[in-house]
Amino acid sequence: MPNVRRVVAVCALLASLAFAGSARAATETIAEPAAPGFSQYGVIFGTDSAGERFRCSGTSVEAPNLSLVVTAGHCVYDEGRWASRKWVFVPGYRYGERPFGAFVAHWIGTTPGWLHHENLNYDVGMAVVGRNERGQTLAAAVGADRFVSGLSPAQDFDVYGYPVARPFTGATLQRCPQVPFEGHGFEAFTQSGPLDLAIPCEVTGGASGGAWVISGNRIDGVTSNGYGDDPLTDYGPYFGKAVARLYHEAGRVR
Amino acid sequence: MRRLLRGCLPLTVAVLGLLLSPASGSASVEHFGLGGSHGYRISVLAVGFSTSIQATRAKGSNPKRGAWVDYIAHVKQGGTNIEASFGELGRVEMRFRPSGRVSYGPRQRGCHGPDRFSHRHGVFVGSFEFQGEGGFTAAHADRVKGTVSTPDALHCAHSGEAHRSHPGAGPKRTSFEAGSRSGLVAHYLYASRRGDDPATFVATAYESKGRLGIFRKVLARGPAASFASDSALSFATLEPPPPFSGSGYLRREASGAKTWSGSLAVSFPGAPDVPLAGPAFRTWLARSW
Repeated sequence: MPNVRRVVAVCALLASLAFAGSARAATETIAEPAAPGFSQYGVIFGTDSAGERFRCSGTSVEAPNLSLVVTAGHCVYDEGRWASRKWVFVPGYRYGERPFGAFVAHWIGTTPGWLHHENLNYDVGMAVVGRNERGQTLAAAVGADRFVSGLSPAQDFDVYGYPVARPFTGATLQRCPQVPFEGHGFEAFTQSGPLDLAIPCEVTGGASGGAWVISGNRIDGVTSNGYGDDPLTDYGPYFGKAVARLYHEAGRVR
Repeated sequence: MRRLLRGCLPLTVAVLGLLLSPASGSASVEHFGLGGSHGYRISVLAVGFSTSIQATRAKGSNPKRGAWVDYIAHVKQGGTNIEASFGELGRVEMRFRPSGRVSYGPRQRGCHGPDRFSHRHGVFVGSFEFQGEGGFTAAHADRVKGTVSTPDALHCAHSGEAHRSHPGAGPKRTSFEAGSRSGLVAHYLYASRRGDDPATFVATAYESKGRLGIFRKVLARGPAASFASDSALSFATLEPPPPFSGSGYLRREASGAKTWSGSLAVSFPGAPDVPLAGPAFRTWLARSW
């Protein structure tokens, strides 16, 4: 049996080679992410409690507080550390521009399954943000997708995100249009909770938390993870009861 | 730049061990075993969120050759009953009836909460029907001995190194790994040889089919010549014994480019003739120092 170090080394090798031999999936660039219908998607710039900076994707979602961002769990809490107060959502981000300003989080939360076990079947996070520099709430500024849960996993998804790792640059919004549910990842079977979902969409680091949208404007999933040796498959948690509870809790935060 | 990269699963990962992770949230583990056809041993294990059927053809607790397959159904369990559907492969509907006998595992130090496992012995009664893919094995039972163990995991502190290597001592070990993943299916091959000792070959496959997770593994040993390489690691030739077939050739050019080709394949339980060579595989050849 190979020792752990060797397995890690092979993983690193496979990850480094992942893009060398693969054809690009049908990811399309959204040239005007500030346009209606896209402006609810944006980039998250964050810093964790150890001072390490990170970048994710997020979505403005309808809620009573008009200020809710849905993302991945590891974009608010990762490896035992919460993100710090320097957690900013920039909707409609494009080439460094912030057409709607920036929205700073004052509340972040995740599911118990992610918080206590970092269980990928529960890798969902949410944030409640303040107003932008113009005094607008998030939903008033950019609109919002509708949250849904408890649906069949067999959906066709529009997947949005701002992947920044190769071969992407993170400069603007990317979309995998109408990608079908393929099945569940093997590792999902070794964890508790609803099985995750696999879809054929090539995204990379930075796309975490990006929306999986059905019926045009209903968010029914987020990008969570992938394998270094298969960049063409994207995995995300199922939106079930635990995610719905988090949504209802976050939506009431003022 | 966040998007979690899943780690490669270790080649010989024990799936049952994964199921017993602390995240399971279950209070007990239900288990029973029985004989299957064609020389397979069938083991059924249930934790809070999963039930697995494992078919094994190997001898001893540390076999040098053998074949394994785990079918994992992701279902909630209640109490000490086991109820799970494995689709076309079968179904478990068993209730536990304790005999009153209880045994205990060894105590472990530094644990939070319980420091040992307790095993309640008894029989599972009901219905168990199973047939492996393509009928490579089958088993059924309406009454079988089994155990219910608590807790499902111990949370104990461990100290010291689990493994210590002695660089430079004895013959060098040469190892080769190849991996391929496409969508929901992944295949890995590991070969290792130390000096003139027999070579060890391990092939694993992970996949999901509908509501089932499937893990397969074969382990084989061949003569030293079945895994050949040179000190410069410029090539490797693999010709493992059954259930492998054919050969694989790794060539490394002076430029560093590698080619991994040949007819090498393996027959897993329920999945015959799976190719293990070709450009879809990423490879790694190494030698201890």
